Amino acid sequence: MSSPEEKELELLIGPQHPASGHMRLVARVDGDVVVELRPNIGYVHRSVEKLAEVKKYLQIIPLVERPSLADTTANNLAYVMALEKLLGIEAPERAKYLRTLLAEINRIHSHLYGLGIHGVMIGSSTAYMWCFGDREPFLELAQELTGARLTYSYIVPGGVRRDLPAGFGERAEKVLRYMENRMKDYFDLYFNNPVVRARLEGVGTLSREDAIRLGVTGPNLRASGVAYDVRRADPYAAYPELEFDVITEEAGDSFARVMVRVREIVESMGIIRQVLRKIPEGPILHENYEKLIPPKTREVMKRKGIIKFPSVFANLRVPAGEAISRVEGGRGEVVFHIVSDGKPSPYRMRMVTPSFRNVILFEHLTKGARVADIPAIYGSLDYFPPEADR
Amino acid sequence: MRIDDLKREIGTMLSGLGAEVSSRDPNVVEVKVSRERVVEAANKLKEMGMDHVKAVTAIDYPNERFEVVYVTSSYSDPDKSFFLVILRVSLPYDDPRMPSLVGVWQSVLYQEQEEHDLLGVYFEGNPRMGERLLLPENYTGVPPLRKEFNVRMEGIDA
Repeated sequence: MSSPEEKELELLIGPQHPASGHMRLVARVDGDVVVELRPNIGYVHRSVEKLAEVKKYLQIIPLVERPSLADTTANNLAYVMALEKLLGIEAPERAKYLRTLLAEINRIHSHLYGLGIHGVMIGSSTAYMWCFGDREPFLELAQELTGARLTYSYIVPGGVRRDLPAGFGERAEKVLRYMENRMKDYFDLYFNNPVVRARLEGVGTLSREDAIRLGVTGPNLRASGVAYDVRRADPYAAYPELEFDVITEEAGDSFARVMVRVREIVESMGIIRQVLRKIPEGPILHENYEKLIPPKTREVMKRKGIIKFPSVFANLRVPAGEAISRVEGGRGEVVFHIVSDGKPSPYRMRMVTPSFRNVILFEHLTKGARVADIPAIYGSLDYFPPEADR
Repeated sequence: MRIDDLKREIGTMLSGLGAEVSSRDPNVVEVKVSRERVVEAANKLKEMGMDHVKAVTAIDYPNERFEVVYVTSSYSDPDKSFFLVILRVSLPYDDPRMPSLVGVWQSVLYQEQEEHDLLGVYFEGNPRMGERLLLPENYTGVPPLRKEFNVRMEGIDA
């Protein structure tokens, strides 16, 4: 080890690791200090953008959900919002509230998923088991509302697929109360744990300027003190009528990123309560589509609160034009850019997921960090490999 | 801030660059600019507070042109974060090269690389040009997002 070139060596992390999923990190290390780290994404690429060009508009809904299994509602909603912009329609009020309801349930279980994985990455398997266990009641709620466990496909152009089930409010309240009590345990065991603090505080610090410059999004951005949330910046669904705070932290380190997500869970629970209190009566599908359903079917449909799609949906034609939509998902901003030429499939569909925009942070935050800090930083980014590949 | 004010402000900032500025409701301002002036235009937009890029989309119009679309917005100026400013560059089909905007917005690093990988557009100055992002290292053939690349139907074509 005499010459400087020989001091550095290449360390391959992944692409298969219990804590990292399908992610390969190529690190150059000097001793145990990371000189450079390059993320290598693309192991679970699903070519959603290309497939969208040969699928009909409605068939794309399940397609865009697949990349991000922990946070399907955001992709579903963002895609449908872009379609609605092209179609020039807006969902009825009740449907907007139901969309918000599902989006917030999804945000909570997506955050719990992220916190759990982060726990296992820094060696706290209890945190992992608690988070995954407590994620279950929220999955059950979403399942009750939509009929599916993870890939809900609940939001369709002009509305939603099902109405609120009877007695949903009480069951949701039980779950929320349970989670509120549970929160104290989390702090006792995990967030106020000296070991956890030592591993996270001051590790992987992202300054406000860098966060803006690198175009980072979601909780990772807000942990660096930038109060940007699409729900406030460009309000959609029922958010303009609801009260909630945009959570920010100033420190910008790994611990701050975790804290933003924890505090967002509490905020989301508040939003769910407001939605259930305020939700107005009315139709759940846009009148243009509802009137295409035969009257008898429509009656049965209204009684059961389940939509049977009019056949026009199968060959939904969207006027030519371009639309860009954005939605605040659990991990950050989801952007859809659809170019339509009036045919039954989009001419070009661009899907930018938050994890793809955050992947630049691997390079940025690990420079000069210790090898042992890589999992702590990785986990705190709430990075979801399939979502970055799409 | 109203969209017409922003449109006017961008119009004055970009005067002399031959840019076409238009807007559509409720919050999208569109700027069309030639590839020779795109870096200058991007710098001006950044000065105005458009500090990050949300999406880079390249669109393939076979035998006609490529369009590269940058969707930008602001984090630092809360007034402007409601708006999306779109920067659109048209490239000739036989020569899809343009200067990279990675010097202006670092946030385009991976997105330009992806469009290079999947559509074959070349961004001069982006350090990741020529490297694969999503495709296998040894991939040869038509970039998969181009229109001439056909998706094979399992059991029918393959």
